[in-house]
Amino acid sequence: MALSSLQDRTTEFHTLTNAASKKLARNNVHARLLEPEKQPAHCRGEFARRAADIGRSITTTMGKLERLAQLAKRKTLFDDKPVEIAELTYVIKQDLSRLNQHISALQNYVRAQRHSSSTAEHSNNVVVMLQGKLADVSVGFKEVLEVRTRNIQASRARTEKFVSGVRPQGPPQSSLSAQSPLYTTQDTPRRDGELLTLDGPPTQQQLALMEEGGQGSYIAARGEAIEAIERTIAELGGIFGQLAQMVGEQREIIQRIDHETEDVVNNVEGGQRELLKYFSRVSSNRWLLLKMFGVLMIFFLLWVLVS
Amino acid sequence: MKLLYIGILRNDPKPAYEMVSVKHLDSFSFFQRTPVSEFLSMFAGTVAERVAPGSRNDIEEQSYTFHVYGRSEGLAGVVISDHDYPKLVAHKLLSQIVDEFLTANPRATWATGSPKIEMPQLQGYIQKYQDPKQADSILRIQQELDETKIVLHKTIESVLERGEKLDNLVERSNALSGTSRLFYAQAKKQNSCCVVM
Repeated sequence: MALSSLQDRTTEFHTLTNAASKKLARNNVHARLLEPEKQPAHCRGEFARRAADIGRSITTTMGKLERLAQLAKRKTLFDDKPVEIAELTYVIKQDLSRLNQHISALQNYVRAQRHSSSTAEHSNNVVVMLQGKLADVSVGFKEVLEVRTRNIQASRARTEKFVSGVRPQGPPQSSLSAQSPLYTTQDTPRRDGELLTLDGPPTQQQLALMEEGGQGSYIAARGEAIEAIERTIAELGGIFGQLAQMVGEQREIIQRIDHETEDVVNNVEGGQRELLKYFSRVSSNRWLLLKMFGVLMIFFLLWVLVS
Repeated sequence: MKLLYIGILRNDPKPAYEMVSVKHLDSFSFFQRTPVSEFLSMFAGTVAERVAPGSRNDIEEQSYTFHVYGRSEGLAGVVISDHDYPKLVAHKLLSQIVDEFLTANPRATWATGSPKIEMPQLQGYIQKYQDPKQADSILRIQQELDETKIVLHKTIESVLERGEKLDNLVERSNALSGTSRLFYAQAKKQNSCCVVM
């Protein structure tokens, strides 16, 4: 239905411009629209054709994606048809990359054309819509792949349960495969956040998962490396805590030192005051001493003179 | 830790056919280079033929290790390195280039005949991955974390020294406080004692 709306718009636009040109055919200024209209009509035909092509391919890819989703939803243990699923995945991925190339080529084509502003706007809108549709298809593809990987893990766990004979590596393998979904599905949302752009197949991580569904050892090794990194980070956290504690203790020590030095300052100031007082007393005393000594000398002299 | 060879081979119709490859043979003398490169290509072909689709293998041979990743579409990626090169990095590189190759060239172009496909990024990759520590993010994170840990250990040592010096300071300030109190007391005594005149 989006396809038909594309083409409908084009014919509508044609009729509108024809009517407009007929109305304004009297004006000389607007007569210019008539001549370049031949060229944009031709170019718009080309553009509409390419856009319609891309729209059609998008719908076919969506159909394939629905088939893949149906296949991926099956939860039977043995009748899995992995070959068909792998083929479909591959084909869809190719289609997505091809469609992306076409859409970017179309966008460049649109930019290279010199249209009047309304046609340029229309073309840009069409391109944006196609890009949006492609993004939807990619998102659906990614979800289907996630469902598929989950089912693979679930079916593998169930097979382990049923075929649990004399297998010394059984428990570690099952624990590894139980852990690896934790790591792999934890990895994928993080990576997918960055990769969810409109460039090409953003499902590299998912497809790697799909392909390596059979070998747990590589994923387990990566999981271990990531575990080691986690442990190191936890250690670093502990070290930071210790550091903070030590610095906190030292803060108290510093407060004590501050208190003591304030005491020292007070004492020294007091001592200085006392000494100054003494000094002033002594120096003023000298004056008094001199005066008293002078008075005594006068009295003594008087006594001597009298007697 | 060196990477000697990166290549993608088609292994579905045996014998294996090498579709794209790049070699880094600077560590060998000039005369050894041709025989060594032939040897590498031949061995890559043999190894690619023997790998089961959808599996990864690491094969050690003389002084080289062959990391091979076979895809179910009928091709295999081979990376030849020396023994010290970490396997995780080699396999991550393999997944990446095989995926790029598959997105760039759909199956029809190389399924039959002897196609010669160019992949210029391989030259860039082989240069970049010569030092796996820088190229692989997990290894680089681990390395940076280790460096950070060393720095933190040094920091803690410095903080311990600081603690010792602070203890020293506390003692000295204690002594100083006592001395200054004595000084004050004596000064006071001086003043109050000699009220002679």
